[in-house]
Amino acid sequence: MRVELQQISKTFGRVRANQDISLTFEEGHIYAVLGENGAGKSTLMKIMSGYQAADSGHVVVDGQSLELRAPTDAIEHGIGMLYQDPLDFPPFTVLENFIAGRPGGVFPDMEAARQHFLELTERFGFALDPDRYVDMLTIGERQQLEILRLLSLGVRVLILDEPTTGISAEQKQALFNVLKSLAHDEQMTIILVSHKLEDVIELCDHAYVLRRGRFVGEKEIPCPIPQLVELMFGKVIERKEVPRVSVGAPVLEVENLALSSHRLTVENLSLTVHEGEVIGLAGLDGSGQGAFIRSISGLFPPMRGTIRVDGRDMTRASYHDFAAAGVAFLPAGRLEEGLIAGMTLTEHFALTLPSRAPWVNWVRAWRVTQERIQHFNVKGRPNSPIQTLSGGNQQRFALALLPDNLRLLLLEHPTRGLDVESANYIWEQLLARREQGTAIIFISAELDEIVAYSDRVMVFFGGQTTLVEDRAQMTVGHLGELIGGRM
Amino acid sequence: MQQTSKQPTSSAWPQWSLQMLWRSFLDMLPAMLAPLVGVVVAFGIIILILKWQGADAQVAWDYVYEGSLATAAKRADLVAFWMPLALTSLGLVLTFTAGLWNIGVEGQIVMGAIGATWAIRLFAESKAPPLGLEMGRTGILITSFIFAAIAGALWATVAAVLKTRGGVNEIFGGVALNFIAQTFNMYLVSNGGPWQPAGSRATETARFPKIARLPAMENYRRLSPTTIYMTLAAFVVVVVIMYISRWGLQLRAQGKNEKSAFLLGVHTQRNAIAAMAVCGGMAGVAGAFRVMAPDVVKLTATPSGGIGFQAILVVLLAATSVLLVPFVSFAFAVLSKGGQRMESGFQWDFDITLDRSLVRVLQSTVVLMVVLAFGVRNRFFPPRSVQPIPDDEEEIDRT
Amino acid sequence: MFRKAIVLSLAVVLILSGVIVAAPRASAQDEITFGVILVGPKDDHGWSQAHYEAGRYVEENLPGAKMIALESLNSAARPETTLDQVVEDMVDQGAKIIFTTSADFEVDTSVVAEFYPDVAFVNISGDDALWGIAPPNLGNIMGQMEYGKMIAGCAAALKTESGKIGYIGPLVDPETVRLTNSVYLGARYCYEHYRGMNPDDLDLAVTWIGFWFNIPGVTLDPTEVANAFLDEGRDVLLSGIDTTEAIVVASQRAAEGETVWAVPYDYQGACETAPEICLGVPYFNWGPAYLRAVKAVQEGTWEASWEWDGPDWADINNPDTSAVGFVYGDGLTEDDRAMLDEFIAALGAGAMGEEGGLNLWVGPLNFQDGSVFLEEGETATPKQIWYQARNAEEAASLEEVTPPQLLQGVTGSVE
Repeated sequence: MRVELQQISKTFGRVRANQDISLTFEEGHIYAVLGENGAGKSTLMKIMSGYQAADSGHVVVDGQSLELRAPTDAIEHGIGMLYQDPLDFPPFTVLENFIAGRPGGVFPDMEAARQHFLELTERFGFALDPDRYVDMLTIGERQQLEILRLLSLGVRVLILDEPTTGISAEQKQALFNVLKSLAHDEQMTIILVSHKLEDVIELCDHAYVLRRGRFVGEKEIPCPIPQLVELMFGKVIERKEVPRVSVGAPVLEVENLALSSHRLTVENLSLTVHEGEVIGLAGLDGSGQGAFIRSISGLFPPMRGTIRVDGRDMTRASYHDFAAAGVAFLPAGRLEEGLIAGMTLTEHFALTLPSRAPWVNWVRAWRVTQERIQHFNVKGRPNSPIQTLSGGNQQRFALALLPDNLRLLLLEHPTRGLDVESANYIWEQLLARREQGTAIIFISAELDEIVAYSDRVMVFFGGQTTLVEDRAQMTVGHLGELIGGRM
Repeated sequence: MQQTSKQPTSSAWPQWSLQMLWRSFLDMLPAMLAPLVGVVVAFGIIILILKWQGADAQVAWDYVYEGSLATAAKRADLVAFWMPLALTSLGLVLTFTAGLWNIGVEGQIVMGAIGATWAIRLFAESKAPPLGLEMGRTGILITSFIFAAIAGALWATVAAVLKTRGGVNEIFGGVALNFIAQTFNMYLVSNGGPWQPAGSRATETARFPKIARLPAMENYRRLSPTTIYMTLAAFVVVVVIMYISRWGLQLRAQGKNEKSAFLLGVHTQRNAIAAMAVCGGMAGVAGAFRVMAPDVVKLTATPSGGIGFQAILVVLLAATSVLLVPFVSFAFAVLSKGGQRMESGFQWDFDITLDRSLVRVLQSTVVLMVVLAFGVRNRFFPPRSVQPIPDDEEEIDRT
Repeated sequence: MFRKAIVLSLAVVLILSGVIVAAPRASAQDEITFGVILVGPKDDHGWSQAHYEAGRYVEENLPGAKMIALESLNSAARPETTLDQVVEDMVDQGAKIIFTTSADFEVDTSVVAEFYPDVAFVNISGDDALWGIAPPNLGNIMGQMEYGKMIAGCAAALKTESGKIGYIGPLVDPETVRLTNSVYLGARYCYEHYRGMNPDDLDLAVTWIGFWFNIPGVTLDPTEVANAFLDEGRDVLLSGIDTTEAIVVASQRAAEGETVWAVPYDYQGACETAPEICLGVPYFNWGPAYLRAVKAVQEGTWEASWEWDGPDWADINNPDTSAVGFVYGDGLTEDDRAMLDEFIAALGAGAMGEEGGLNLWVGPLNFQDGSVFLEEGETATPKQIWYQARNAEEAASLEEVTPPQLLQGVTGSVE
């Protein structure tokens, strides 16, 4: 079966998730759809599997254009998708899940289904007990069940969204063997959506790369990894060399930090940051950098380890203690965390200006607001509600709100969603703070931003960290490989 | 009027400000019309309900007027009911501003009533008051109010701590605490409870001694001026908190976005507990008003009887504006008192039995319609202040 | 039966003639407005409805009489109103006599009565007028429900197979203890005299739920109490509360094949819930007392008094004469009815002081704590019955009266 995507476009509000993407998938091959977070690969696959409708464009199977209104439509035409979180029904048994979604009326033939199921498990070497309840299964086993279910429904095109997340090495091997056999022996079409270069190299024959909603290139595999990385993250735009400030006394000392959330654990993180230093944190979303930056601002208490600010132990200190010690945190979602929709610029200053008086000095707040917004080039009036400002102005205002003479400034995606001009302006302001001895730690998804502004880079991958200190190694290519899990 | 400078020049100032005034007036127009439309729709619905029950709407309004405002005695009764309602609503302004749905206010009123009664039992009824404190009338009244405030504040603090430390939503915590307070009250005064006089068959305490009764007005035996002075003072305090103090600004900030307020350095948990406690204290004093009212002077089976819930409606309707609270609570008091007269009037003069819950339906309809009107306004005529300005900052640059 | 019919027809004639005679006299002069303040809804199938209907009865039987009633006066239903304010409204409307029909109104009525010396006040079930401390315009009315409860107890004794019956009590006060003891006395008597059993073997248990009706979480759940009684082998349930759980639970259990019976309370039509297992219902009939009071006020002859009205022994179910009645339920056989008729006749004879009449309030009777209520041969005075206390007659004030106690033999406590 040959599937063609023809000029697929999809927008969510003002975000263009897919722009005019055309791809072809031949039978008997294993494809990779590559891209960093937000590149648009999941959207594209959801359109292909009938989960979402495209704004324009066609899904064409063997020359016939399909109208997909629901995942069942796609399955009918032989396209099935295995989601990151398997969509099964936990309170039921494996066998009951296996027959779910099948045509066959109200009273399915359980015996025939069981036979069929056992045949399939044997053929693929999956050890699945048909009578176990699904909520007892591991993610890997649930994947296996879902694959069998899709196969039994006659799927000829199998899409897998990040299938190797959360499964064991053995399960991964078993999965890859099955996928290879399906493609090469049974001439099925397999599509792997992933950002893990390892997996792509190991499994796939061909890679399509998306970046920021567009199709940017394809490669026959095997090919050198840096070529893929370059496609994924774009060519490195050489920026002017940032003047390095002489490094002063240590501001932040982190030793053997262990962080644990329900999603991942970070172990043995150690880092010392000096006055005037800029540390970039790279990694795909949810790799541990967010937890780390929150742990050193008092928002996420660590399990083990120590955090010292200016030599003082702050391991279990509160956010307000960190703030008092000169640590400021600027999260990514400006209007969700950081600024208060419904309040004016002056009210923001009235709220944050240090004062011991029980009343608000509105005159002072108004004056300071005018000074600061002029200084930070914020386009807005002291009495403008914050949400009426554009994103760039909100970000500039958030910086304007920060007190002077900070010791450590923590930023999450400081320039996300901003145009180049705004981003440069923000960085000018940030780097100016280094003169006062402020150390900066920032998270960014833009590798070139990290490369351009960081003195050192810490890369997070699944909770593991790699510190890149050698400027020679601080290239988009090398960092991209680290982000993709190639140590 | 294509001006490029970011700040208006001095010569442009008057025109600029006039334009701003006109613009903000246009902005406010739907905001002012919305509640009006809501009230009109609500009244329409009420007239329909009255018609359906076989009652003449014109006569109904006459009764409402008669039962609330027509005579000086009725006005006195109206004020006597209005004061605890207004005081409770003023307290709720603080918690609602901070984004806390203090549903537990009903229980806080009950605990305040119990606290006041306890103080009276200790210092006015007991032959040997604690610490040998023999107090005069003023002392006893002040002590009762203090006890009431503390009891209400403590009860509110429980809900607040459950929320901040235990992660129990203040609505669920409040509902449970209301129930416990009312049950405790019932235990005290019914079925041979410890505060029910021996041999009494009524579910209430004995009448408070004369020394523990609020002074009544000379001409209106059921109205105590003390409640008016205290509520007025509370109004001034809440206005100061809301419009002048840093604390009020912080409450407003965390009410709009708790996470951001916290990140901007506001001690949100501490403020939440404090706002709840202050509100609970005021509700507690309102509870004291209820039991110490000259025509009650005893702890009854249900000292609040739901005025806490009415106060929540008042604050919702006033959109947490402290300046509107006196008016809205007054309107509610009129509807309550007048509604009761409407019910008895139709019954006595026309032999028409209106549903007993009509008054509540009436109040709720007004609130529902006004809230709905605001919703419609925000959906279809969003005020400029919440309209995002597109990325090109043209709009704001042009004056 | 024959006698009953005669009494009934006599009553009908009386009413008709009353109407005919009264009708022409009705004039503007004779119009009288009376107020009735109810603690619950006027259609509660219980206490408050009985009072509301009494008001209607007055309107029907006294030309020119007009009732103004306010239902559900309690701070939960009407937080904005107090008794004082309602009375003021009613007086403004021209009410000359106001009935306040709850113990919860007792204190407030005595306070408010002083503000309106020209208006007559009647507090139902109160005892202010008994002690001479009430204002001169405040009287009390109560019905002698003791007899209704004795009949109920008798009916239960006639039907019980296990000899164990259960009484669901509201809260402890002199009235409710009095009624529980009445059930016990009636049941004991009939168990011995009609069943020929040893009365000491009869087991009456009372459980107080804590209020007049179920308040979840505050009171005991009457449904659970009823089921627990049945689980203990008690096969007749009597209700002392305002609501119908006793008969509802009994009918459910009867549907499961058990032989159980119930006696509800308060509302004349209460048996309709489950007629086949209902032994009858004792109820109040306030109409005649209301009529007397309103008429007296109209004629200017009303005087505050403490009035405790008994049944009309000629026909306890006569709506115009009997303050307390008992309607037989379908659960009673003809034989049962005959025995109950005999029992009622004996009680009537006793109440009227006839030779050979039956008075169950005669010693020896002891309380649960072993103290003597009535010595051998001693007959209780009304005050002693009212308060279920030996010293009620000698006490100089209400405070001195000892708390009410259950009789020896009753299972349960007043604590």
